[in-house]
Amino acid sequence: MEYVAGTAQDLRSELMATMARYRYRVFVETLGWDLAAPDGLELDQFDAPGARYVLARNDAGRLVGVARLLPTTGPYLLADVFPQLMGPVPLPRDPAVWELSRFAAVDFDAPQAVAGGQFSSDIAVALLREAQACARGIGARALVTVSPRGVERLLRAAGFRAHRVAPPQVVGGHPLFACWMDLSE
Amino acid sequence: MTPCNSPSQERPSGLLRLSLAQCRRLRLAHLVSGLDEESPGERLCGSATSLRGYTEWVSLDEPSVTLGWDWQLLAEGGTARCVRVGQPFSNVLLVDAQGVDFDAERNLDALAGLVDSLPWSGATRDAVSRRYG
Repeated sequence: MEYVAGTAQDLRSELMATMARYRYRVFVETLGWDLAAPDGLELDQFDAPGARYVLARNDAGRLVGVARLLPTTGPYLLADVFPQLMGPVPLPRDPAVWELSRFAAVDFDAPQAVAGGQFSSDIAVALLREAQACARGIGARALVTVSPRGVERLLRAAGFRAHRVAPPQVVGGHPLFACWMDLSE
Repeated sequence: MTPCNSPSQERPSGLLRLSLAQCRRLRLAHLVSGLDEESPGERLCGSATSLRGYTEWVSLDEPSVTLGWDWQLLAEGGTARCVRVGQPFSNVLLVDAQGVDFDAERNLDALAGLVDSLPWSGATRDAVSRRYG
């Protein structure tokens, strides 16, 4: 597997478009998320100049995973859309805390691709490690992410240091919560 | 012995440092329970199905504790009960009498013991029954 990381400016526009189409396939087509995605491209208001991306490609060069890192010193998903997930804990506004979002790891070329799933565990773990390394490289000491239960289980199984920030909110019948990942070594 | 890590030097991450005694005094209420979706490979006609799911509990009072765990339905002697699978997920980090953090494994083991002392199985089973008919 190969990884490419950078801002939208660093990545070629063609690769950004490929990422947007992949995100559409995962989040809109597979998971059924109600997202504005004209022309089959999934990008939102947080895909701004400050965002960093980590992309994974398989041996054939096809995209098999994506992750987005946002600085908490600017707009980010947890603060702007799901602040209630923080409970009584102040929203981080810290250059050493970044948000991980739009995380997916599905190889649509693989025959065992999980139907209706957001990630293959092997790809997901590898991509998470890469995203964490990238985050450390830009000064992050922690990551926060809006998480369903599946992400929590994945983090635990892979040995990442993570904990819940506050009690979950039930969204669509399922618990959703803010997850804190410690990147300090 | 002084704590090896000072909370004041950490970023506010929501981690609650509590003693086991404090945790045992918490009043916990059921929030939500649900079933795990089986993977497509498990949906074989005639094959045994094991019901597995999750359950989430929260404290009624401050501090705002979250405690969730996975479970599996076991049928024994004509009755069905939910049993915990794996260690729980939480925002609690237990500390000892000197205020020293439990290490990760000890923390999870102690929280699992706390879960096992709770009469949660019936409430979870009932919640799942109501939710899925």
